[in-house]
Order: sequence, then C-alpha cells, then structure tokens
Amino acid sequence: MTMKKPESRVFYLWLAEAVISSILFFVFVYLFSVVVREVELIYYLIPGLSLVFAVFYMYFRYRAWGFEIRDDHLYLKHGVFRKVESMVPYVRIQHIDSQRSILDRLAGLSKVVVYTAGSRGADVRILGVYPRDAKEMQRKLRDVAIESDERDAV
Amino acid sequence: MKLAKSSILYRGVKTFLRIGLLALFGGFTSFSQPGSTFIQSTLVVIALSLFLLLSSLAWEYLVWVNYNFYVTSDSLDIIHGVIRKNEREIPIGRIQNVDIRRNLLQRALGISKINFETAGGQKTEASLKYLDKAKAKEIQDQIRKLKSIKTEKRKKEIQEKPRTEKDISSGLSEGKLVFELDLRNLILFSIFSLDYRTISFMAVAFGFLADLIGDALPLDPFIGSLTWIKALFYILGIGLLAWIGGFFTNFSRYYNFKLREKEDTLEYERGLLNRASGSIPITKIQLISIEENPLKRLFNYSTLKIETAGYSGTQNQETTEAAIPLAKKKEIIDFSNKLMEYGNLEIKSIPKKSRKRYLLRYTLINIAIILIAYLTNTTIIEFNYQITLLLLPITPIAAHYKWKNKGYQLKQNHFISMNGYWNRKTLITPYYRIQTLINTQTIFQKRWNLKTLTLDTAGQYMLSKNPKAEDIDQKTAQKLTKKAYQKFKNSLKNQNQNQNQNQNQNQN
Repeated sequence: MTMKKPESRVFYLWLAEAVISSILFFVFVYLFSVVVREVELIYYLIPGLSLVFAVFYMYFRYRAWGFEIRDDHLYLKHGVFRKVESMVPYVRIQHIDSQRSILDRLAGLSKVVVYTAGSRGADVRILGVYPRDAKEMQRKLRDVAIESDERDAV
Repeated sequence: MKLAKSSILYRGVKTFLRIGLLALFGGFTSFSQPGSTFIQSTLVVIALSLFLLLSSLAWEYLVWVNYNFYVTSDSLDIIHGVIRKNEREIPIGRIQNVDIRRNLLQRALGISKINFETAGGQKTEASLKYLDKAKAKEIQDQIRKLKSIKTEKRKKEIQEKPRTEKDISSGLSEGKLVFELDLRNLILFSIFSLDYRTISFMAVAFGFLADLIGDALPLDPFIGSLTWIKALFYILGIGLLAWIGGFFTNFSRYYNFKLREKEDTLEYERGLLNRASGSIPITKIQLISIEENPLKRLFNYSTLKIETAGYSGTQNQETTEAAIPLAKKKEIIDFSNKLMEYGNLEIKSIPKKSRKRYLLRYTLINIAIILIAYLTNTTIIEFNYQITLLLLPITPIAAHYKWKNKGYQLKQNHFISMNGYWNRKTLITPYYRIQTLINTQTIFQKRWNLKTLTLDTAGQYMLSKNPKAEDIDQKTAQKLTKKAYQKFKNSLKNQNQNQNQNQNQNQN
C-alpha cells in the first residue's frame, strides 16, 4: 500500500485562504490608519510578509501531508513545525463524518473526519479529497468499523 | 427521512427570539433619535421584528430542506448543512444511548428531540431536532431492535446479562471496606498537598498586600534593600498562606474518606461539612494515575487516581477524585495491582541528550527573562532586575529534575509512563484500552532526534494528559510504537476470547 496525498488543488485552496486573510489584514491596517491614527507605510508590509510566509508554510504543509488506509488501521501524518503521525485502529472508530465548508465546496473538495472514543484532540481528519472519494472512504471506514464491531470500543 | 415540518416553526421562532434583541435594539436607537415620535419608533420595532421573524423562518426552512437522515440496517446516517455540508455515519453497534427529550412547549406541539450517544467523547454525537412524537419513538425502537439483532448474532455483548440473585443480594450489602484515610494520614495529606493554583491566586492577592506593608515600613533610605526584603517577604508569605489554605480545604474535603468495593464498582465517600460520594466502575477503568509532589516523594507517599471511560464521570473533567488520597507508595502499588496486574513500577529513563536539551531550553528562557527584566528596568520602571540572575544557577538543577522524573516502560500487558516534577504522574494503562497511537516531533525535538509517543485512551479529556513517553530517541519511538501496536492487537484477541468464555460460562 502506498502513501496517499491530498489532491493538489487543496494546496491552491489553502493559498486562496491565505490570500483572503492577508487582504483582510491589509484592509484592517488601511482602516486603522484612516479611522484611528495614521500609520507609517512600513506597517503595510506586514500583511505582505505574512502572505509570503503563508505561501512557504502551505507548501511545506502540503508536502508533509499523507495518509494510508492500511490493513487494520488508518495511518496519517501531517504538520510542519510539529510533525504528527497517528495510527487509528479500525476497531476504535466510533463514527465518521464527511464535511464540506463553503471554500471546500467552491474548490470541489471534501474532508473526512474519523472519531474515536479518545480525547478530543485525537480526532483524525483527512483533508483535500474529492467528494466521491470522500464518500467511498467514509463507506469503507464505516464498513471496517462495523466489521470489527466489538462491544463499545473503549 | 425528514424532520417534522412543525420543527421549522418551532426552530424559526426560537432563532427569532435569539436574535429578536436586535429588533429591540433598533427600536431603542430610533427612540433616542431626536424628532422621532413614539409611533414611528414602534413601527420600526414591528417592521424589524417581522423582517427578522420571516428570515428566521426562511433560514430554518432551508435547514429543514437540507436535513436528511437514514436508519439502515447497520448505520445511522445524517446529512445536513445549508452552507457547510456535513454527512455523519454512526454504526448502529456503536450507539449506546438513544434518548428522547421533550419540554412543555414541544409536548404541546407534539414534537420530540432525540439524542444519540456513543462511547466517544463527552458530547452528544447526534441530535435530531425535532421529530414527530411517534416517529421519534419508532426510531428509538428500531435502533434498539437493530442493536439486539446484532448482539444476538455476535453473542459478544455481556453487558446486558441478567443479574442473578447473588448479584442482587451482594448489591444490597455495604460492600467491603478497602481503604480508609485515618486521622494521621488525613493530616499528612493536608500538609503534603500543594495546590499550585491557590499559590498563583495568592501571588496576585499578596502583591497588593506586600506593597501596602512594604510602603509602611520605615526603610525609605535603603531603597535597594527594600526591594529584596519585599521580594523575600512576598515569596515566603505566598507560600505560607497558600499552604495554610490548602491544608484546611483538603482537611475538610477528605475528612473520613472511605473506599468500598461492591461487586464491580469502587465507591467512595468523604467530607467534613458536605459528605460527597461517587462510584468508579472497575470494568470501565481506562488508566490509573499514581501522583506525588516533591513533598510526598520525600516521605514516600503517593496519591492514587482512577480514570474511567466517557460519560460515567459526573463531575467536571478538570479534577478527578482521588481513589486513595494518601498512602505509602508501596501500599498504593499493591492496591493498584489488584485493579490491574501490572507488576512492579520499574521505569526506564529517557535518553541523556534530553537532559541536555532541557538545559539548553531553560538557559535560553532564562537569558530571555534577564534581558526583558533589564530592558524594563532601564526603560519602563526601575526595579532590582538583578534578582532574575538568581535563576541562572537553578537551571541545571531544574533541567536535571525534569529529566529525572520522566520515563516509560512497556510491560507485558500494560504501558507505564512517568512525567512531571511538581506533580509527578505515573500513568498505567492496559494495551487494550488504547484508542490511537500518536507520534509527535516538534522542530526543536528534531534537532536532537527526539520524539514523543502518546497513547490516547478514552479516560482523558485532553490528549496531553494521556500516557506518553516524552523526548525519547526517534528510533526508540519507532520501535516502541510498533511493539505497543502489536501488544494492542494481541490484547484485543485475548479480550474477545475472555468475553466469549464468560459468555459460555453464563449460558451453562
């Protein structure tokens, strides 16, 4: 089995998010300068610099992302400054969501969220999959969860 | 299937009431406008209200249109969302509770809310708002039937086994007393307890006091020495007050603490003014925690806490009740071994390079503090910034003790981890309680080739409070993960075999 990556368009989606937030940031600086008090030109560089940073960050974020649907568990890795590798045994899956935010829908993407009975921070999300694949993955994970349906999985 | 049509009305009105304050606010602003008459303002309020009501209803209609759910033979699927789309699939076998709730108004409208809960998390996994009364009942029955068919088929469910006469009779008895906190230990416990939250609270409260007293002292000619005295006074004062406060709260809280064993549960009761009690189901134990602060360690005492799964805990998630507030460490180890046979508590220490890392980290933090203090001193307010230099000689000691109090161990059937200096926690969890295995590496850890392995369980609300082997070599982490996962898989097989055996015995 090979490591799968999110669809590459998720990278562009993240970029779009970064661009939108730096535009908002820029507008904020502008409004601050008009309404509250005038700021030096150098402050306008901050949104620009954060955008540059975001581009690099998103690139590495995309590169770090990967998941694998293995025999008896789901393997997932992600993270730039803090690399995280998770193994979720199928027997532990409680339920599965597929979620699409407004941006996801515009980009034609979807994400799959896998819940266990563990702590809140340990829920696993697979980003940047096509809705059809998400559906399939959800089905598949649900089926393996049902198959291993032993007690309450805690 | 769809929600009840009347839910549009109910939810619409509810949403409207929530945002209806806006209409009032609009009315008030127009009241205060010069030249507006009473009638004009009233009209504004009515128009705004109408607009909000209609848009709430329209919105809830869209919610209703986009809300679909299905009960199939093996899962409950809910598809919803107007802007953000969400599809949730819950395997029937995982659903633990289906409860129907109706308030007065909902009863008048003939609608019900139906909640589905699984073992996961603290919140409700799915909530259908709202269904016709009969429909809700029907779904509840349907899911119960599907669940029982599944359990019949698999014959694995042992939770619903009928209570035998013996069980009932033993349920009535007082239960066996397994632990009692006598007066001597209660006093010791209260003395040993250092509540760091009280200390930080006191620090703030005492800041004002120290200022007042310090100013009143006739030490004006010795400004320099005054700050030193103040600081010393401050630190000692906070410590003492917090400690006295902690003594009394813990004394009254754990007065006459008793732990009894009844069938499959441990029940405790405690308290001087308010008697409180609670129970810990032994079959649901996820992990046990043996905790000591430096004082307890010095005298070889420990506290035992037990974490169980999910919503059985009625108290808030932040504080777990102690199962044994204070006993000699050996006693605690013996007692906890009866709950889960893990053997002895031998801990493997983490690599020496981690200690170097802590030293470097603390030194850097220290330099930053000194710099900040120096800069504040010269630019903002004047004070004795040299005090911060005192921290410097402490760094190696701090790094050493942080390192010394960390460790882990892979036992035959249990994973043990130890972390923390101020309140050292030794967590023990059986492999079959593992939910997920998580390896993390920050960029700071990467420089040293270190990793952290966390074993997530259902016993903790926060991921970081779960058993974890922190700052271990990345190769070790890899091996450890593999081994732990293998042990987890084997433990599941054993669990199933045991359960089947139990089942057979029950049938015979």
